[in-house]
Amino acid sequence: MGDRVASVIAIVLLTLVAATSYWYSRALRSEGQGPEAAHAKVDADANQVTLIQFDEIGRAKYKLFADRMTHFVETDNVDLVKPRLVSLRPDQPRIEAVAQLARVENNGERVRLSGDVVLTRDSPGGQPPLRIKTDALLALPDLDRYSTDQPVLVERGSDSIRARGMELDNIAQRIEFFSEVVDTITPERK
Amino acid sequence: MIDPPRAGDPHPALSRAAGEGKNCLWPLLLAACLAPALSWAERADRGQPTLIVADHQTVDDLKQVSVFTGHVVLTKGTIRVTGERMEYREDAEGYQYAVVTAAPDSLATFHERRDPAHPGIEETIDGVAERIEYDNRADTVKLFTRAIVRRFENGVARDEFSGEQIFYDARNSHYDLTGAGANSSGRVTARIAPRNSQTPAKDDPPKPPDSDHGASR
Repeated sequence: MGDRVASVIAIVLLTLVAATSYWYSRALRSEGQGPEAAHAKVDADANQVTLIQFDEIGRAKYKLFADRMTHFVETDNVDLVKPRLVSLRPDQPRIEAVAQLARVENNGERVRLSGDVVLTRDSPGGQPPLRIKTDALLALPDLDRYSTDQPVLVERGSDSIRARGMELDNIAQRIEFFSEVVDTITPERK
Repeated sequence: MIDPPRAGDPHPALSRAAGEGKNCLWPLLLAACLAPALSWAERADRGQPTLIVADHQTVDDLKQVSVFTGHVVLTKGTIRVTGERMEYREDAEGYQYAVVTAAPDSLATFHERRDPAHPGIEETIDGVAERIEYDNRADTVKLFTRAIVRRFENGVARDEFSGEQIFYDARNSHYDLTGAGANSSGRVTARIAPRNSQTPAKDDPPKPPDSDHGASR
């Protein structure tokens, strides 16, 4: 009789352990699909880092500087604190973007900048640089494209554009504003 | 501002020409008769910022052109231009050029106030057309297709011009009107208030345009 009770207790305990393990693995998988959480496994962590992305012939395409970097095992994403993205395409206007946070996804294909995002693009011919301010910005460094669906303020000298939603194509040197456009042009040059 | 003609309404100039069977251009230069009455576009406008509101904008830095679409409204001091689509550019000296087109079954509009030529008289210009070209350097406004320009004094319409094309040279107080193309029977119409007629006081209520003072060619 005592052996039978011990067996039942052992089976119940094993079942509990199996159920807990199953729940824990499900929880980890669902967290991997959303924002990185405190439970996600980290395999690299560093302060004052510089990440450099190279093209197929070994030229640096862009650099990412950050105060702190965290790499997550499950998603292969990298989170950055106080990031600074610098585009290094020699034949295009130089772009630099800063923010409070960034997440680098898909082996550097996408960089999601968030919090006080400021993108600065050099202008040719001695014109003032173009400065874009928004709360969130998706950068596609391989394509040299930058977009947001958030309210955006663009300033060049004393001219400005306010809008909601924007895409900057730095190769074509085109900027598209998707809605609620208010463009203010000052007559300073005359 | 001028109320645009309704879709399908014949243009007044075309209506007058109907049945006459004349297929020709009708340029009409009105500088001489209007020069004493007209003045420069308000000089203060030149120093004002330009504000353009629209639903959508594309900035092409290579071509140095911006294209606005959707309920476009440009304001610069007393100048106001509206339409459905506008191509806008500036030259190196900051002079502005805009081509505004209207939505289907609608008209683009232009409005500005002139520098006062006579004390107590506020003079404004209103224009409508399917396409309006604004050249800030030459100080001209060109209106194409179903074009009407009216000059107001203290809110009362004094002169009215209509045609298929109206070139309005603000610097030289000069209108150039053209009827429809060679294959149609369009004419131009000019209705000009007598220069010695009484201009209503600024606070008087606006009245409709004078009806039979002017010339029609």
